[in-house]
Amino acid sequence: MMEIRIHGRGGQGAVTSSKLAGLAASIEGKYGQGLPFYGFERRGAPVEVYLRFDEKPILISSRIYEPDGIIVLDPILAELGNVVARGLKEGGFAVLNTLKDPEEFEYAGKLSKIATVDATGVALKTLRAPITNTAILGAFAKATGMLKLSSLEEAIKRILRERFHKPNIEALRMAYDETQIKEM
Amino acid sequence: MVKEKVEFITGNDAVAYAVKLARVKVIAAYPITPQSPVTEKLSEYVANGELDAEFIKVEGEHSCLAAMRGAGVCGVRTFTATCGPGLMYAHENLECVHRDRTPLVIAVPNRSYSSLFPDYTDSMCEATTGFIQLFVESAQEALDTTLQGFRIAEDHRVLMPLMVLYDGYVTSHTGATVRLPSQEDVDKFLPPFKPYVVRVDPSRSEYIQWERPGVPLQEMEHEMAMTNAKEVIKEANEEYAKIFGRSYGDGLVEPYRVEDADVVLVTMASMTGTARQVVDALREKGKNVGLLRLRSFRPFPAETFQELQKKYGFRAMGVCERDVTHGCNYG
Repeated sequence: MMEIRIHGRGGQGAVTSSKLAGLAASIEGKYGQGLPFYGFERRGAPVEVYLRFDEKPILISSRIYEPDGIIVLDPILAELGNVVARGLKEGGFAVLNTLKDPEEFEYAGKLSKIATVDATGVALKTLRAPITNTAILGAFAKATGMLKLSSLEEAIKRILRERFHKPNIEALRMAYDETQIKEM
Repeated sequence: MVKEKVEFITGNDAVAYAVKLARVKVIAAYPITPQSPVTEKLSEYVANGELDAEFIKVEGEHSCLAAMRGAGVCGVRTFTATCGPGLMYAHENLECVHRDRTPLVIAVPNRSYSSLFPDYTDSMCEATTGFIQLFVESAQEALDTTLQGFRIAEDHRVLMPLMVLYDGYVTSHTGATVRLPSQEDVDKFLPPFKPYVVRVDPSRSEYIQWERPGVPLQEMEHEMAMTNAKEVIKEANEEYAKIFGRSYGDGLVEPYRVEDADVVLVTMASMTGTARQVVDALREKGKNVGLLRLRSFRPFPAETFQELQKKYGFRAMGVCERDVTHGCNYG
């Protein structure tokens, strides 16, 4: 089982990113689980979503305390190692929305892979709004190979309203192309 | 070959989808967290024509159950979802439903009274109201059990109302991979509702009072119906497995790794998934532990526990509950 923690801020689409990833995994014949941590959510406040993938049905329903990897939708949160990297496994991976280099993150040392992309820039170009969820999924697909771009595109078409299909698929692909991967 | 569609949806959406597949005719609803997405989804299905049902917007859960009782005595398949304080507010009418012998189905994403998080205060408060209560572990099981629920409740050996209970947020709001059966297959499993007797003609407005036996005899009839329900729950679980390939223990209790177990943990609903992992981990360390998941809280399958104990010989059962009754050392 693969356990991933998604960090974002209210309004960036962290919950939707888990729905898209979970559906994409389901389309590929795997099992997915997206567990949003419900607190008092407000636009701009940090939110966490727990994402699991497995070949068999997932029955565990706890939060994820020691993730195999993290996905961070917000560039400022990405710099807060004590928040986003807490419990992160040795040799894990991070997919970050950032303009910085991978080495600049204090928690880089314990990871095997860091993928970086300017997801905010991609989102502003394609969606004209800083909603970074589809862009960061493009980076995640490239960095880990766990989900195919084609199944993520199918998930976008099935979950989002029609007028959002084209710009989000564009964001997904643009981020996929622009993502830099650094093996640590 | 069973036709199914794979989707990534929440437990609430899975229940709403099952209600659509069950061709429910009357839905009465009042919003409450974390139930609201169920009846919101159903109102969408009714509005866009996917479900041919009457959707009644009521001013509270007490009226909701009154509307459902009315629909029930007219002989149509009826559904609502509620939880927490909403379920408790419906208490007076919940108590009447089984006396009408109207097989309503209610989905309850369990919620505490004093917070939004899941505990079983709401459903335990209603454990004496004559409802069958089936606690489910996952979104998939919530869908499967909603379909089974109508069949169990409407069986003429039972004719008692039924609740499908799943954990608020943990199951109700978590996205999961769920297999959605086709309408064709569901129609094979769940025939249209055949009321035992239709007592009210809705085109005529009249005061009705039907012959009922005295209270002691009524209670005996209800007890027989609940005893019958144990067999009917087992049958529905088996028939469902034949068509859809999924079953949950014998329908009443689901054992997990109880072979040679010295001790077993008894769990309900979503906590079971985590407990399964703990059992696996302890088994790897050579500890003989197992798990029994209680699915049917009402009727309570005491004899099934006794049979399982005899068969597997475990020495002790520990009970893990999401509920507490103060002042009596147990939940």
